[in-house]
Amino acid sequence: MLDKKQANKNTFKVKKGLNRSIVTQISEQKNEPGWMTDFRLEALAIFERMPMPTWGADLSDLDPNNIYYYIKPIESQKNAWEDIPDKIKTTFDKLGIPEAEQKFLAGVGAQYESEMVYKKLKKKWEEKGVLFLDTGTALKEHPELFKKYFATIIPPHDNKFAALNSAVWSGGSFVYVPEKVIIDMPLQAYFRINAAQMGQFERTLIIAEPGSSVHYVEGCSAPLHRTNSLHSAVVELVALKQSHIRYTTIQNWSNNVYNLVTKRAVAHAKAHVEWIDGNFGSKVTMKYPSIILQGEYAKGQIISIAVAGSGQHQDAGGKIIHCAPFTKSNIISKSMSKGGGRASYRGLLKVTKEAKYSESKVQCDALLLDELSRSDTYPTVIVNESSADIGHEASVSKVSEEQLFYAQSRGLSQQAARAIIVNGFIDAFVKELPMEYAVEINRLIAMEMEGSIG
Amino acid sequence: MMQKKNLAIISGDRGDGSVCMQENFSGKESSLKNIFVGTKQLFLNIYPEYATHILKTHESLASYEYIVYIKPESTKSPAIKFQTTTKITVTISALFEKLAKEKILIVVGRNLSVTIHDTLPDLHTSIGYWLDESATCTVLYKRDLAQESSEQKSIEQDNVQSVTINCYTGRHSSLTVYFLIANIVVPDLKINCYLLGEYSNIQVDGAFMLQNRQQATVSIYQEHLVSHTSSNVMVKSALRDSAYICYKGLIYIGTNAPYTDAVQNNKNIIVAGNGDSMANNNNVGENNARAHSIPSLEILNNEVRCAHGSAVGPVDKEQLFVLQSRGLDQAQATQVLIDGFIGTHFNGLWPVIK
Repeated sequence: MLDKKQANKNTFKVKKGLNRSIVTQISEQKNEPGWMTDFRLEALAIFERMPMPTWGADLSDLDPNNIYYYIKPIESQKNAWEDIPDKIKTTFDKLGIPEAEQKFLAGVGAQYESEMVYKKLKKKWEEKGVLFLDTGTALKEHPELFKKYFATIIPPHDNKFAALNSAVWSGGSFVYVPEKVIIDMPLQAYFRINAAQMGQFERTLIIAEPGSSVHYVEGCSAPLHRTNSLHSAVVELVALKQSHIRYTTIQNWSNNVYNLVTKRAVAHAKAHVEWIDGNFGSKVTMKYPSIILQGEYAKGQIISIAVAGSGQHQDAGGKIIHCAPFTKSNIISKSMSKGGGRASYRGLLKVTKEAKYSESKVQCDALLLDELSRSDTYPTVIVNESSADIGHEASVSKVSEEQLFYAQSRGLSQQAARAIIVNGFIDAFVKELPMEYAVEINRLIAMEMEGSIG
Repeated sequence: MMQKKNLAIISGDRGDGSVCMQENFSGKESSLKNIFVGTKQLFLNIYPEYATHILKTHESLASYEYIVYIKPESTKSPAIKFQTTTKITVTISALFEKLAKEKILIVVGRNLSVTIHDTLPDLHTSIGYWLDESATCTVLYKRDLAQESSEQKSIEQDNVQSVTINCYTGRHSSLTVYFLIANIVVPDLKINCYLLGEYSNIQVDGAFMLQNRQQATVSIYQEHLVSHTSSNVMVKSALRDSAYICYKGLIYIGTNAPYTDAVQNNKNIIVAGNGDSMANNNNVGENNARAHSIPSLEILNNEVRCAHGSAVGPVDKEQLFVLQSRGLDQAQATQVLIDGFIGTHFNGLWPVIK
């Protein structure tokens, strides 16, 4: 439905593959300061040195040399919706963003291919000093702020794909919320892969100053392509004292995308960080949003769902590290596998010696929709402190005949009954979403249910 | 409970190269004379068909060198379900002292109900339990070094201790393994549950009580490849001082194993040192107990019930308070709560085990 490919005219495209000259070229093209060019080159060296991860999903089909690392679209940045070219508008229409949505949402930072082409921030937030820019622009306009936080949470040597992103990143969002500013409507950005074989390496950095609050929403959808695409984003969240960040992702890549994302947040004293993560589509997803609870009384929550269809492997999960006393965390993970898909939960819960009286609950539930599918759970619980209270629970089940019978006896068709049971299963996730996303997810689930009658 | 009159102590040498047992039970002759002990080759010679059949059921069976075969009353009579079974209690001691370094497979014949007390002095071993159709077997496995002389303790603590327990269950058979390991370093305890026959069941209930710098690593693997099988694993630990436990569990349910019921649970209590208030930070060095837990699942079938749980926490403060208000001091109250925590899941066998 969202998979109609449009003819593309790109102005600037570096060659396929990756080497020092391509990285330098990307940096020059974006008129970046010298330190950033050096940072990229250093990250490239790390990327080349590090081996491919051998755990988790199968990445053997992924060839990093067969990917375009940078494409700049023909359209430059526009500020008003009216000026956006029709071609891009239709793309957004297919993504299902009604124009009216702007009235609800604080701003739309839409990433079309590798560059922000559209951003809009409501005036009142601008007045309060909120910055909502694409990451490249932020580097130019706010170099000091940028340099202070950039790559402090996820350094290039964190993992191979964080290094890759550090070397070739382009686009992504930069959000800065000043002290005590509370943004009550979600900030929103859509990302989209559109050129065949093109990698998308957005880099998102959100900084919440003490006492502030922000909800950031990103949604992803990609058209069908024949060859494998790679999406490798890095998202860093800095939640300073008493701030609150909620980061919602709805991701619906096409079935040939490798989605290898590193997401991490640091929560300072009394800060509250939430990852709401929905994984649909893609060929392989490896994504483990993490929260480091660094300050006393910090709270972290990860709520995620993963839906693995035929030929897909969703290796998702969450990591929480308690480093300070009285910290609390909660992970809820729901996964569904159908048509031979494989959904895995891979998580880490670590309590260090310093984290006295910390509490954590992890719950992961899996639903298998047919006998071909597979569900795995690989949780790791490490507790080094005696006063910590930790619980982990998991269950695996199927849509039971009893439930189906009950719903059907009330007059629903088998498919509708199934959809309603599945919607109930992921309710803990859906109710955390903004209204329009909840509607979208319910539609998506109904679509996914089509043809899955066992 | 145990039937003392059927107690058999197995020991001695048969003289013809194979190891024999001496039947030592007060009372009438029983089926115990039907226990075979010998090398795998001898087993294959005496029971060629049966032995070949058993050793074919799983590839890991090839590694065993010695076989203990507890025969049913008559091998010739056809297996009659619901037949009254003979209860046998075997205390494995003298025999295994001799065979401690060997790999032993215990084969429990059809329809038998056997209780095995495994009080092996040395943990260096690889032991297997193979249950034939409709057999029931309970294994009590206990190691507590605190009850032994300090001399022995110092010798054994220098040893690297590792144990592999393999469990194989045939159709309709049921195996229960209870183990209690206290005050001992166990770098590697592996329990592999292979459910080979339909409607079979394996239950593993284990507990660790560790202190000082004692460490234990336990890996439990539950493999379900046929339908209608169930397995239930519960591992508990109470950790004091700087003790450390690492629990790794994996439930694997294959595509041909519908109607599987598999559960694994790991619960750990970390007992704080002398008082655990924030003010008492100066004894941090004394209280470094750690618990790692990795309860994994791999499920390739949708007609299953599968769950796992893992919990780590301190002794409940309210319960401590209630006991202390009844006149127990903190150490006593903690001990009562730990006994309760560890003891409850041994199904009334706690007094025997303790």
